[in-house]
Parts: sequence; structure tokens; C-alpha cells
Amino acid sequence: MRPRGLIVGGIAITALTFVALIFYVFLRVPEAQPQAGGLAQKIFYFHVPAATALYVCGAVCFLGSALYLYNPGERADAWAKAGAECATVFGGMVLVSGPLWAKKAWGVYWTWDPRLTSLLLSVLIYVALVVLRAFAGNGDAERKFAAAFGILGTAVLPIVHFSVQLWGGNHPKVLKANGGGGLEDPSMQLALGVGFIAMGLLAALMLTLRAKLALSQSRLLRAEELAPEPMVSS
Amino acid sequence: MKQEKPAIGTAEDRAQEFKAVTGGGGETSSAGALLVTAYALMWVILMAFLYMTFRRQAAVDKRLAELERALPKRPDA
Repeated sequence: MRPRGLIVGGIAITALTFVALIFYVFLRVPEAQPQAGGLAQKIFYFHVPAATALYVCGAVCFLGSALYLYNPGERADAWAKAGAECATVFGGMVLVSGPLWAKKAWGVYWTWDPRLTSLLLSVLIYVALVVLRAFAGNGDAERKFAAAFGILGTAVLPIVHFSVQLWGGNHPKVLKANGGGGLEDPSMQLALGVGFIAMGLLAALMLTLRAKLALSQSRLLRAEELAPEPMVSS
Repeated sequence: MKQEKPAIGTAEDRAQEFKAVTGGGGETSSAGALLVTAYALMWVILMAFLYMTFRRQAAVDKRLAELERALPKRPDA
């Protein structure tokens, strides 16, 4: 199958998984107890998978950055850049959906809880990295600086993840090691599982598209260096 | 006759006092509205990102095609 066909197929499968997830969450999954936000708790089935997708994109950024520092190349740089961009988007989704759920469950949109504060810090690092890549040029020095920044951004993610265990706060530890956690109803557990699959597919798709774009942009820069002057200035 | 300046109160004096009432207004934030807002905003972020990605990819592909067509025409090529 050609790469274009793979991307179209990936979009179709991801879209179908999301349609199934939305129907299941809204029509089949019961409401949670009022203390958990009641109907607003259904934000959970997108919020938690989006946070996991943020971790995945952060890991891709970390691996791409480390590989670029070890052995500089366009592919490693493209994946590092794509990881940071997608981590920013998933971070934005988590930071938008979380406060709206918190308003119902905790009574406030935001509190300087360790999980929320460390997540905000992590997303701000990725935003800074994306801005740096957009405005600081595409030379080797800039790429190396961005790679170091990408490693730093991902180093914050374990702090985000373990902040609830380490420092407590309002944010619950939802998933437990023995499975299920706070999700008693089997349909809630299934919805979360489908949420993870849908958001995982979306993360893979977005990472592929952004890495392809970054590689095309590098190819364009090289082509512009080779092209005659009138073509470059047009 | 000496006029006395009004004393500036302490932070405690200026604090807002809240009193309990019976039969209050009830819950102000609707769970349904919060849920719909959260989903809508998440989809807006996602769609904007995907739209920007496809638009940029199309622009880069178009420019690359132009340049690749021009390259063989170079006299030293």
C-alpha cells in the first residue's frame, strides 16, 4: 500500500473508532456519582487518554531528540519536532477538558494542585520548544538546542505522573495497578479502553503527519539551496 | 475645628462576609454544559491542528514540485 493510502486508511480507522467511542460514552456509559462530577465525569473518557497520548508524544520527542544529539540526521529531528508539536496539542486538550470537569467535581476551574501545576509547566516547555522551532531557524545549532530542550520537556513528565503519589493534592489517582481503579461499572472500563485505542491511533496519525511535514520542509530547504535565484525569491 | 480623617480599615474589616440563606439559587454550572463545552473545545483544537498540518503540507508539496520542475532547466544541470 502506498504511503498516501496508509494515511487515508489511518484517518478512516481513527475516525470510526472515535465515532464508536462518542456513541458508547454518551448512550451506554452511566453517569458517575455527583461527587465525581455526575454527567461531567464523562469528560474523563477523553481527558485521561489525551494525557496518555501526551506522554507518548513526549516519549517520541525524547527519543528523536536523544537520537539527534547522538547522531544528527533529518529523520531524528523530524520526529523530535513532531513529538513536541503533538505533545503541545494533547497538552492543550488535557488543560482545556480538565478544568471544565474540575468546575463540577471540585467547584473551581483551577487550583495549584501538584498534578495540575506540573502538567502546566510541562506543556509550557513544549510550547516554548514549538515556538523556538518556528522562529529560531533550522541550523544545526538550533536543532541541537531544541533537542536538549526536548529532553528536558520529557524529563518533567515522570514528575507529572508521580506528583499525585508524591505530594497528594486534589487530583485523584484514578487507575490502580490491579486494574479498574475507580471505574466500577464494566461499561466504564470498556469506554476507557476504547478511549485509549482511539487516542493512541490519533497520536500515531498526528505524529506521522507532522514528521512527514517536517521532512518535506527539510527537503524544500535543500531544494531551495540548489535552485536558481529567481526560483528562490518567487 | 479639627476634622478627623476616616480610618482605613484592616483587611479583616474589608473582607466580604457570607451568610447562609435557606432556599438558595442552587447549582450554577450545569454538568451537561460543561461536558459539551469540553468536548467542543477539544475537537476545535484537534481540527485546527489537522487543518493547519494539511494546509502546510499542501503548500510545501506545491513549492517542492515547482522547484523540482525548475532544477533540470539549470544550465549547469
